[in-house]
Amino acid sequence: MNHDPSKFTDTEEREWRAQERALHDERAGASAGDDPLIAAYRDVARALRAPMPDALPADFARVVAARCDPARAPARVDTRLEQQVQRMLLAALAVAACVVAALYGGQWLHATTDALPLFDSGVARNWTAALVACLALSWAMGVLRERIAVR
Amino acid sequence: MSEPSPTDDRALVTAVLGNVPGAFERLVRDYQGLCWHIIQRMVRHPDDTRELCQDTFLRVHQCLHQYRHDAALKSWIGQVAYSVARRHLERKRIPLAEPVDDEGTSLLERIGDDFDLEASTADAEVSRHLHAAIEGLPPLQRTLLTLYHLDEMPIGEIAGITGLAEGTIKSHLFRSRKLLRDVLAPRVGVAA
Repeated sequence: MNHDPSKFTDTEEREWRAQERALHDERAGASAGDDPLIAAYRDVARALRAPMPDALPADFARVVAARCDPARAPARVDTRLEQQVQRMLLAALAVAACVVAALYGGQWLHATTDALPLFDSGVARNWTAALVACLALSWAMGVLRERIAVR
Repeated sequence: MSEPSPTDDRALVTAVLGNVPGAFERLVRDYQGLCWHIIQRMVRHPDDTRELCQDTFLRVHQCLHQYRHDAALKSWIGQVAYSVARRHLERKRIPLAEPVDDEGTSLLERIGDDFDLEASTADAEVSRHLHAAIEGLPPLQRTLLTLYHLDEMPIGEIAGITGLAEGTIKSHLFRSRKLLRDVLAPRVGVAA
């Protein structure tokens, strides 16, 4: 169909009403009429209202509730001291990294560009820009494909 | 089972958040059917469905304090179940929906042709064939039909659960039901 999928033509609108009529007749248990279109849609509505097999186990609610009950959950080990020490060590590491970078960073940069002059060239910058553009494009295509799939 | 009122929902949520014994179990019991319908229709695998239903309620328990009562609790839980099932399909790279327009033939092909065209207009055969056709629909269409027909949810509420526009849902319902009717048409001779 070429038109906006959410807008119906007159024929489709009439058929939509037949579908809805069949659904309501089926829910109300009304006796069958003589319209074959509504009769066919009543078969469809009946099949769609049939209970689904393989339901959840009888004790599902009890089991899930037990997993969420703090009183029945296994006692947690108190790790607050370890977390505190870990945070302090990470902070010390970050400070040390900053000091080292401030002291020797310039030297390292010069040594690297001397050893690999290509890193400092326009060619390298162009390739880096192309790489970033490719990554951005493939990410955008992924997002777009996902949105189209839902419609 | 009667539909819980907004007051019932509010009282139940308050009880769960207040850790009242048995409250969360009641919440699970009230909404496990809806959760099963959504997830089973999406993933079609009973073992996965059971596991994902459990994940859904664990998430509901974790995030219930974020529920603001601006929608029915049923819709909010349905939304969690739908997003859990949808993520599962994405991980497995199963497409959620297919365009319905060109699908008629493929659906007819998918449900097979081991059906006696002449003699089987009997109710049981028609019903068996329709169920096979429903199973052959893409996950999104199956779920929308189930929420609308089996759970008797209005289109607005389904829109809240799935995040789709009401017009899109109406269009999916119309075309899926037409497809299912077309599956029957050669058997029972329906006029188009």
